[in-house]
Amino acid sequence: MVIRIERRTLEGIHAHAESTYPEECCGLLIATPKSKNVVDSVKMRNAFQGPKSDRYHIDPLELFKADREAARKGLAIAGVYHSHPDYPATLSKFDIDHSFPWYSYVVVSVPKGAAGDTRSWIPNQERDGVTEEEIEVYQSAQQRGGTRQ
Amino acid sequence: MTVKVIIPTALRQHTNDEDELELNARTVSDALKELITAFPNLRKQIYSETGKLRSFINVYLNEEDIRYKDGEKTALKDGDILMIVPAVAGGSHDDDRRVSFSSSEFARYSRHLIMPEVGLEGQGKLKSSSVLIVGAGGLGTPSATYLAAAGVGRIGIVDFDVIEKSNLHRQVLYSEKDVGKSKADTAKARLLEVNPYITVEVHKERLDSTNALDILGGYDVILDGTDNFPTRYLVNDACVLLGKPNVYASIFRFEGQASVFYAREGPCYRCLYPEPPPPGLVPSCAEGGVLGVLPGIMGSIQAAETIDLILGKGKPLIGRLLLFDALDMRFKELKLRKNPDCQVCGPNPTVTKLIDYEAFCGVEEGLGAALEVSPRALKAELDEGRDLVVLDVREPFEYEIAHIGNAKLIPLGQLPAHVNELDTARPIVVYCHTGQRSAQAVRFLNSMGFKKAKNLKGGIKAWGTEVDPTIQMY
Repeated sequence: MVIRIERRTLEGIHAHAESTYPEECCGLLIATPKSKNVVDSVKMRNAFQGPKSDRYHIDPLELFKADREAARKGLAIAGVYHSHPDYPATLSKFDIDHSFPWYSYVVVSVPKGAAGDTRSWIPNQERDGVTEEEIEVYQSAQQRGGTRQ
Repeated sequence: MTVKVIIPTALRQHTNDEDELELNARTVSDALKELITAFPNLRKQIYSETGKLRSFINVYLNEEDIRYKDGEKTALKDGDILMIVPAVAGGSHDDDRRVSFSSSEFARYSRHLIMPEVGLEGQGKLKSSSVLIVGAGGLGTPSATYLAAAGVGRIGIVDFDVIEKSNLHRQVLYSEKDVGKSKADTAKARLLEVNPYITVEVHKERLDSTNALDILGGYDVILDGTDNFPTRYLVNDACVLLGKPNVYASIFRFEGQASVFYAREGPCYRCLYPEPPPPGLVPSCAEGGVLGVLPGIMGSIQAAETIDLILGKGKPLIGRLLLFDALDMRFKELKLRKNPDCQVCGPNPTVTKLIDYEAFCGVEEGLGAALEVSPRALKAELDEGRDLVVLDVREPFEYEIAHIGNAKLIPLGQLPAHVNELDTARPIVVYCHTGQRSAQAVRFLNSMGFKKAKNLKGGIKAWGTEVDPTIQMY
């Protein structure tokens, strides 16, 4: 299993994770339909009512609106990313209990405020375990063109 | 009913790329059944094997969660829009693993962490614990400050009052500029300045029988910083009913008491005091005064006890009453026993739900209009030169701060001995600081045959605001 994430999108996710440190950030991975080809990310508000240093929650209506927006562009939500300030990039038991088997879960570890280890996980249908999927970072044709200039 | 169902993009692979579907249905349940008839592959995604909607699926009807309507039985009407929305949440915090700390939290708590009695485990317990402080006053503010600084993860504050100037000599969390502001809001802002790594919740309402179980139920430990008997009995009874420890302290003038009332392991407040004292017998801080530093000491003892309870270390004050005298600088300790006949925590309780505590404590009703006179009416009578005696029943040092005209001073305690100095035939208006002691004096005088004795409503405090702003207020 491989999830492909465009380089600038991954950089954007890392910047988001650093900007909310020591709180968790969260957002969506936008991909071409029925694929794991992530072309964009959308920052979401961490709507958790309480200390956000180790929790995140995405408001369902905000998620719905982002989903409609992706559909309008002919894209789809392929997954969710969030950060783990000062904690490894693995899914916690709480993450798995609250995960969604349709999505990939990209987790960014942010030790001492600097985005580091980034891993992606897919929960199984029963939500009692996860499978890691490889993250393949790629550069879009547009960017490659850009670097030639 | 024709309704539209919107399906998340992630599920389009099961719906032949459709993300919207129009169908006919009378209820939400019907609509979802129609949906999985049209797209059988969706069944496994939306329903569990037992035929229940999966817990990670939210269903919204016109942007409102059906859980807040009639669930799957919610009726539909033409044009309704149903949305299936995944529930997305998570985070590194596991309920069943040790709480994690950021590097700045490590630095903040380092003096705790290096003590084996606290350590990382204890600090984690503090972070994942919650304490409710009832009353953000003399006791509540020092205890809240220390609990916040120590890293108690969630602190609740119940107080609907505003800060008064006379609070500032002991409630050191507040400053001059805060006078007139909400105690709960001000305390929250200050506590978050002390420690931004915690959460503070405010309950700006009067705690009573209708809301106490709900509010107290959300916390691990309750800290009683109340200044009146109805709330103290209410907090005690609610803690017994909820099975929570009640970290208690009270203060009067130079003396304080503290204990931990935890009915599961020892006595409760009612074991010690089954009945409240007669109304008016025990003056409040407003009436009796209090040494400013005393609640700082007693509130700090409450904070220490709360932390010991959370850590599960040491010997808490369960079954012990600690007495402190700030004048003689002495601590004493009394043993408390659980009362086998206790009405609330005994084996055969008569109090099994919260009661009307105002009635239970016989909170003083006014004397009634016939026995009261307003400051303005008194002023008018004095201006007219009516023959009447103004009687001040406060203490001489209070009289020295301010008094009305050439009032006669007989402190309440000496009234029975000096009652013969008064004339039963002449009208008497009695006053004190706020009108409570003078109400007792009027009751006493009435019983002694002084039928023309009346109480000045609101005492000299009301006189100062309504009639003569030049007198020295205290």
